Amino acid sequence: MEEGQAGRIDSAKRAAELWAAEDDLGSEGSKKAVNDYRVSEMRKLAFTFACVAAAVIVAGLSIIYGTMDLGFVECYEIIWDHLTGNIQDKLLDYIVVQERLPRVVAALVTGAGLAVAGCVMQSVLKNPLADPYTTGISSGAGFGATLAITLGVSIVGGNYAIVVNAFVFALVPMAVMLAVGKLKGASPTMMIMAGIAIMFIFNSFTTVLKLHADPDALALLYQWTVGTVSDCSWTDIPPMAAVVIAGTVVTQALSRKLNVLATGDDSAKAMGLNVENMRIMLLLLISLMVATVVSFTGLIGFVGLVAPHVCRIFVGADNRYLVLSSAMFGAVLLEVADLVGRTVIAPATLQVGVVTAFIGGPMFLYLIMRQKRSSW
Amino acid sequence: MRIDIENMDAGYGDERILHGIDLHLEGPGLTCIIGPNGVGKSTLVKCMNRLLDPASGKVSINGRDIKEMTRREIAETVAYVPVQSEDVFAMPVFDTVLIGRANKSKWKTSPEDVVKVRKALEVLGISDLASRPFDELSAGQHQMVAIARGLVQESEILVLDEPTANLDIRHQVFVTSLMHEIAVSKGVMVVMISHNLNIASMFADRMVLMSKPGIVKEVGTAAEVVTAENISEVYDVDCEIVDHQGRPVILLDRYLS
Repeated sequence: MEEGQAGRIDSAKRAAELWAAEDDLGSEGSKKAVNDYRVSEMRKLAFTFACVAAAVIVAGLSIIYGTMDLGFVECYEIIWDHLTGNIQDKLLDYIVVQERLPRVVAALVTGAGLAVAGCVMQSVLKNPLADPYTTGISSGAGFGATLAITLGVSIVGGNYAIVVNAFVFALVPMAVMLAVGKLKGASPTMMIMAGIAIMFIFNSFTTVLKLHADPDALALLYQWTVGTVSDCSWTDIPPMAAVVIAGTVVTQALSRKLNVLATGDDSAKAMGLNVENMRIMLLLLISLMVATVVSFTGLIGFVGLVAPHVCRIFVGADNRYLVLSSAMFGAVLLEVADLVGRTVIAPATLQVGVVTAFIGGPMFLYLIMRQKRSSW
Repeated sequence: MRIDIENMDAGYGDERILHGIDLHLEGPGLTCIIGPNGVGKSTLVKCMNRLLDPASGKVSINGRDIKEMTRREIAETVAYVPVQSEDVFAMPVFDTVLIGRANKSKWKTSPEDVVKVRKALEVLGISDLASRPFDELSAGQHQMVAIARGLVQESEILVLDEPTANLDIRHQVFVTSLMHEIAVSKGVMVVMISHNLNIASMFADRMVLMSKPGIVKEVGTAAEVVTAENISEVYDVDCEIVDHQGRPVILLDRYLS
């Protein structure tokens, strides 16, 4: 290369020649690398499939539990018969499909929605503590519900007063976060801090409202704030499922861009991503998703925070696999929590929101302790 | 391939860092940007792919005003390696580098992507790190991974913000030399910021010397730019320049005036 270097082998020059050479896709090394990569993809997908299988099994366990005894296989047969329009026993069909199945489906949908929301928030805001709680969405929903329950102030009347109130107010914290983000150049830390500020404001309003509430309203409010899927019926599920499925599909489609976003704002922009728009669009999408599910179920914590972290341990941080696995794991987690809540102190029930923390907390601690790494 | 910066002022908020920059880079080769701390080297490279919009003036890539290009279009021409990488949720090194292929392929990773990433790791001598989590690496290893991610984007222009900052001297020589060699053999334009003037002088095909208060003082070959007068004026140090293997080497005085 330069005079005085003649005859010496230069490792940089050799490396550059390697880089400039044609890629040999047919070589043994390349084939092995591609094969290894495909195996690693399969391993990541395996976790998601395991969650799907678990969801199906737990559904059966959940359905057989109740005053009317049912066989484990029998309940799948009843569902199958119902789906194929070949109902054998009207009473059994009613018990399984109308009484017991809705809460299972609601738990699956809610768990999936909350977990995807947590996954996206953590990635988009680059903060492992981000979830619908820390970003104020839940406190907004809580305030909306409290307003309807204690003062009877609601946007629409009738059966959906609480639902609509919770939904609308759940969107307020995100609107504030996005406004702050827009003004401050969408810095994630700034947005989270704005979310926390809104959370405190809403929580204090909620406390004030509770001071003058009558005991019946307080009891109802309590139930709402710990969250439950037991009140969900088939009429509630279509809107929940539609929003959660649509949100998950869109997030999954954007998952590769989420990976790019995770490399840092400058780096992501340099790779062609419109970082601010992407962040705003995704946060809007998932706040819609969270607002929809919590307005039906009440506040269910923990799933959104924990499910993505547990999945990261099993499938890694690649969002192409993380989003779907979080959805499935979150679904199973809530489904199990609901089953445990109904059985552990039967005939009394523990609300699913309480149980998620009971199961999820220790499990999460265990997984953190098991990690070799000291940083997250 | 060319980058043209005309009469550009740039900065953050109301603060102006760069003043009246005129810089024209053309053709393949390694361009090293040198200059003292805070003089606007990073700001200058951020203007080259619109990470920062200039306050005034014009930046064009291959004759096109970058204001009229989409981010995607810019990204297809210019790859950028930032000075520091983020790793909130760390992936294995292989996957971290693979993200650089986002513009080259669809949602699914293609065999070409896998082979390209594997080759980049091999070229940089970090194949053994492929399955290690990114956050377990040292600062120098992070830097090598970031460079690999820059390479796999296979753009005709590669911009690196201090790629040798955390590297030992062998790796500084290796990376700088590699950038020169790749620029020549692949016919790409590599622009990098460097604080090691001697190593930059060894391999740069072109050097850009920046000085206070945020101007380009001189552009030329290493021999033209790295002179005792330029260095003492811009860096405020006294030195002697000797010739080593055809390139200028700076010998610093131990006394600062």
